[in-house]
Order: sequence, then C-alpha cells, then structure tokens
Amino acid sequence: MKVQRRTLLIRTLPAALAIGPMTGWAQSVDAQVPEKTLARFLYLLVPLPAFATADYDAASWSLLDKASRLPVLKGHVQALVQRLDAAGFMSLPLPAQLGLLKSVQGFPEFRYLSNPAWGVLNHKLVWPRIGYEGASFPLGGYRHRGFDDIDWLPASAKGGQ
Amino acid sequence: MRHFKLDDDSVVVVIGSGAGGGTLAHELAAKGVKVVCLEAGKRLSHVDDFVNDEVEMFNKLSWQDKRSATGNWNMAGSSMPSWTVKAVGGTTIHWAGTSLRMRAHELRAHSTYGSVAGASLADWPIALAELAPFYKRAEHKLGVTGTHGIPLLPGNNNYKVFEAGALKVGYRQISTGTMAINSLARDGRAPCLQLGFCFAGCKMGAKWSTLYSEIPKAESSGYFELRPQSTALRIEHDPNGRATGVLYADADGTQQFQKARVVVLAANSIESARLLLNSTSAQFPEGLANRSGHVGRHYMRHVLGFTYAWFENPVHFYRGTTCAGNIEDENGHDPSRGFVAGYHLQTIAQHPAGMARAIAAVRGWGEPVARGMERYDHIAGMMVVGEDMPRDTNRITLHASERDVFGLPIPNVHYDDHDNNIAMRKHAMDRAAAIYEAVGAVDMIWVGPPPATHNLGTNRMSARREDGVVNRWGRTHDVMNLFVADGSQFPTATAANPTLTIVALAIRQAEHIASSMKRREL
Repeated sequence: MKVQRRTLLIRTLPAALAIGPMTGWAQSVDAQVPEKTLARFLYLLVPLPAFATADYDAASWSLLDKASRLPVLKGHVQALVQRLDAAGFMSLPLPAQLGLLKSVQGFPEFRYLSNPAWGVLNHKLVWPRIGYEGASFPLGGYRHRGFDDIDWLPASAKGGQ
Repeated sequence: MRHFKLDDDSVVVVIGSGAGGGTLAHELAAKGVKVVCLEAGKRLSHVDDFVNDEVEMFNKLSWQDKRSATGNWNMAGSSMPSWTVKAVGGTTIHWAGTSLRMRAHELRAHSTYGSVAGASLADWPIALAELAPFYKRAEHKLGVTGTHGIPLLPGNNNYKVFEAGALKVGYRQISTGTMAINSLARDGRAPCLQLGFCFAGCKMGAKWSTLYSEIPKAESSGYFELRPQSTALRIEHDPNGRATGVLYADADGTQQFQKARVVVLAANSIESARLLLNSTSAQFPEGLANRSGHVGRHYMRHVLGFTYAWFENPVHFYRGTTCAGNIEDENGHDPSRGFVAGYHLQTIAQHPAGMARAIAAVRGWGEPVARGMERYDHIAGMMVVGEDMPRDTNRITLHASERDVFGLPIPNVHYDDHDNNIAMRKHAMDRAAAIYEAVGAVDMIWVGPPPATHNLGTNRMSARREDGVVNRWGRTHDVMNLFVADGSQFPTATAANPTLTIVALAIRQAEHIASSMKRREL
C-alpha cells in the first residue's frame, strides 16, 4: 500500500518536484505522503466545518504546485513536512496535532507557510460556503445585485448617501 | 507613437507613471513639452489584464522587489513594509479613489501643533489659498464626486452600517465621500457599477488612473513617449551640478542612458529617495541633491489600522466600492483627545484570504479563524487614516549588504511609531468600536498597521535649503533642473489621503516647469 501511495505521488507530483534528486519526504517509502500532511496542516489553521477534506487536499496540491516553481516555498514546505512527519503528526489525535503545531509555530517554515495557508480561502469553489460571491464584473457588478440591500439597520437620519 | 532618441537632451525625463509622474507627463506634453517617461513596471490593460481577484492582482501589480524594514513598528523584519504598484499607472491602479483636500491648519502643522518632542514637524512652504485652484483643477481632472456638480456615489451595505453607527454616536460629517470614481459616465470612463475589487484595479475604468486617463492622453499629444519595464538606476549630472540624464535598465536588462533637459522623480517615496541616495558622485558624496542630509528622512505612512466587526445579520461588505464612506468629524486639531492632529475613518473591505490572515494576526490560527470566516458575509470594516508625526530618524537608507538584480543596494525602511501616533490609533480604535457597537456588533477585532500604501515625506519640501530637499515647486535645492513630483515632497502627511494633493502639485509643477523652460531658466 505504501509503495502504491508513493507511486501515485510521483505520478501526480508537479514535474519539478518529482524529477531530480529525491530529497526530503520522497526519499523514504515510510514517509507520509506530503500532500496529506500539508492538507492537514492547512485544515488545522483554518478548520472550517463548511469545507470538505477535498478542499484542503486541493489547496495542498495547489501549494505544492506553486512550490515546484518557487524554491523558497519548496524549501519551507519540505522543512515543515519533515518536521511534522518526524513527530508522527498524521497518526496523532487532534489535541496532540494542535499541540505539535503550537510547538513549531515559531519555526521559520511555519511562519512562512502560515501566509500562503490562507490560500485555502482563495479557491473559488469554497467561496459560496462562506458567503463570498467572487468576481462581479462578468455579472455586471453589484450595482443591481444587492450592493445596498441591507435591511436590518435602524433608520438613519441621512439615508444612505 | 512618438519616439525620442537617447541623445536627445531637450526632453524632460519623468521617472514613474503614477499620480505624480503620469499627471505631470500629461500636463507637460499637453503644453508641447517633450517627455520621456521611464516606468519600471509593465503596461497592463485594465480591460484585458485586470481580473476580479484580489490575490491574483496583488501578485500581478505589486512592487515585490526586496526591501528590509527596521524600527519599533509592526512591519519591522518584513520584506514588504510597503505596498506599492510596479506597473504603468503606479499606485493609481490600486488606490481607493479617496480624494480629500488638505486643510489650512494641516499645511501649517508646526505652527498649529507646536513643537512635539521626537517629531520634525514643519509648515508647508505653500498655503492652502495657493493650492486651492490646483485642487479644483485636480478634482475636475479626476472627476471627483461632490465637486464640479458631480453626484456622490450611492452608499453600499458597508457604508450603511458605518453611517448608521456614526450617526448614533453623534458624528455629523459623514458621506460617501469625495471620490475619483465616476458616479456618472465622464471623460471617456464608465460609471461605477459597484464591482468591488477597487484595490485590484478597476476593470471598468470607473476609478481614475493614469493608466487609462493621463497616459493615453499624453500619447495622443505627440510629445510623449512611455518606456515601460525601464528601471531607473542612477541620475547623472555635469560638472556644473546640472542633471544630464538618467541611466536605466530596459526590458532586456540592458543599460541605457537617456539624456535630459530636466529630470523629474516620481517613483514613490521609497524608490525616489533610494534613487537619489544611489546617485552619489564626487560633488554629491551623500547622494544627489542631498547636501542638506534630508534625503530619505521624515518618512511617513499615516496612522493606519483596521476595525472589523461581526453582526447577527449579513452585511456583504465586499459588494461595491472598497472605500465607500468617510467620517470627517475627527479630522481636526483637538489636543484634549490626548494627541495632536487628526484622522479620518473610512470604510474598508477585505477578501477572504486577507480576512483570515487578519483574524489570525489578532487571535491566532485555528478555531478563531474558522469562527470568523464562517460569518464572513456578516462583517463590516473601517480603517483609520490619520496624520503621523514626521521624524528625521524615520528614514530610507541603503542596505549595507543586500543588493538587487542590478547590483544596487536595496532600501531599508526604518520607522519608529511616535507616541502621538499610538495615542491617535487608540482613540480611533475606541471610536470605531463605539460606532459598530451602536448598531449591534457582536464581535470585533482591531488589526494593526498593514504595509503602507501612503508613503510620504522622504524628499521634503522646505522654504530654506537646509531644512529639506525640494523647494515650493518641488525643485531640488541643490540641482536646479531636478524635480520631485510624488508624495516624497510632503513635509507633513496631514490626514488626507495623498493622491489628490500629489495631482494638484503636479498640475502646478507642470506650469512652473513649462514656463521656466520657455524663459530658458531650465
């Protein structure tokens, strides 16, 4: 099973990550599949009940794809995944996972990745689940689609201008 | 399209195509003055290249060349202490459109506020009466709502929450504000359809930007050439101390030298100061036009901060213009509040990823972010824009060891928050909380200053040459044919968002340069 997972990983990893010297997570068949570790990390940073596991998987792959083109990002992803995997992150119960993350949040890779991590919220498919409608230009803006439709405020003395 | 030769020494070279450079270039070209505009960024099309995605446009537009930051402020250690634009149009692409005049007392900051310990307050060498006609012309050029008979914009949901709360706590000077966003079709630009995404660039072109207003007009004059992806590296001068031209790297990275009759710096406050500091010579060992030692000093960024509040019912604060309203009541000098100078409160909205980052910055990652983002559509937001204290130790310097791709030192931005700024921010935070509590806020966060978009003051204007870098016309005291046209010439920040004043000064400066050239004084 582990071998199969690794095969899958190599087959689907972005080229720059899959080719070349195999360092870090891909070196050992015992290592956790990195996109899962990364997806769990992203989930714990932004654990939205309205989001599905697949949303975090997608965000994880998106980040890995970006890392394949950005050496700095790749280095931080590798460092974080190695650090978490070394502590058995994926097999820990939730409180222990949170404790582990808190214990490493001072490390440069955590600080670096806590920024693109908010990219979980930058995927268009998840926006409707938090009430964000996204691009408005193709729909003619909000001028005629509720930009001023608020109806629960106390009547003001001036009235909206 | 007009092309000028590199050895044409009759041209005015303008470095930067934003509010100062783009406006000045158009104004000069319209008067028949030949202009070459060097712009470090690419030329994008607002129709074809702009998208309604804040993150994608941030990556596409932002000036991301490395900078370092030191000081006691929250941006210390950041590689991006400032958020400016690297594209034709400069920060007029991502500005909100807020167009406020400075007030008479603000232009006399030192006289009004008195000496403040640890601050280098100064009076502007220009009075409001002298600026007023140029403000009027700037408002006409930008199509500012509430001026020249142009209707105000309608208030969006975020504004309505803001206004209702403000009225409840007793504020009276509240409006959708004087905005350079078309409420009606005007000057070849569309009316605002309340897209939102103002900071990502206006895809409608309803918000004024030099990208699609001043630059095309300058090009149609036949006296203007735009050179995008051209990074100015150094300004040269002759033995008489006259600027002779600009060394720049073109789109291929090849170094070129464009001769000039006049050189104008309008590269935003960090880069304008850096360029002077990098232009050292035997005559100017501390940097060009820096005999006073003021180049890079008195860096200002406004007192900034955001308040976000959650309500039981939806707000949808992202619908419509980002800065949809302004409260003027706190923009006076009232020391009884515990600080000098004043501030504005203006609405703000934030895209989901940015909002999550903001919550995490205040409350930490995990559950707090989830709880806040679950009710993303129930958030209202406002920000404070206040006058920060100039300090001669808040400054742009050249990094001792780090170099950019051209081998030049990167800039370091040093900023120590003055106690007056901290007191003002605290006051604004309390007032913002009162406003939102008055209309039923159930939760609230205050988010500290972001990377600065209002970078000001590093080449300050002064009446006396020993007190600053440029004179009342934006001309450097030391080099008679070298001018500054961006916000770096501001001696003090005032509480007004800076673009309208930069445009007004550029219109005024163009008249001065053109008439001086005509009289052969330049």
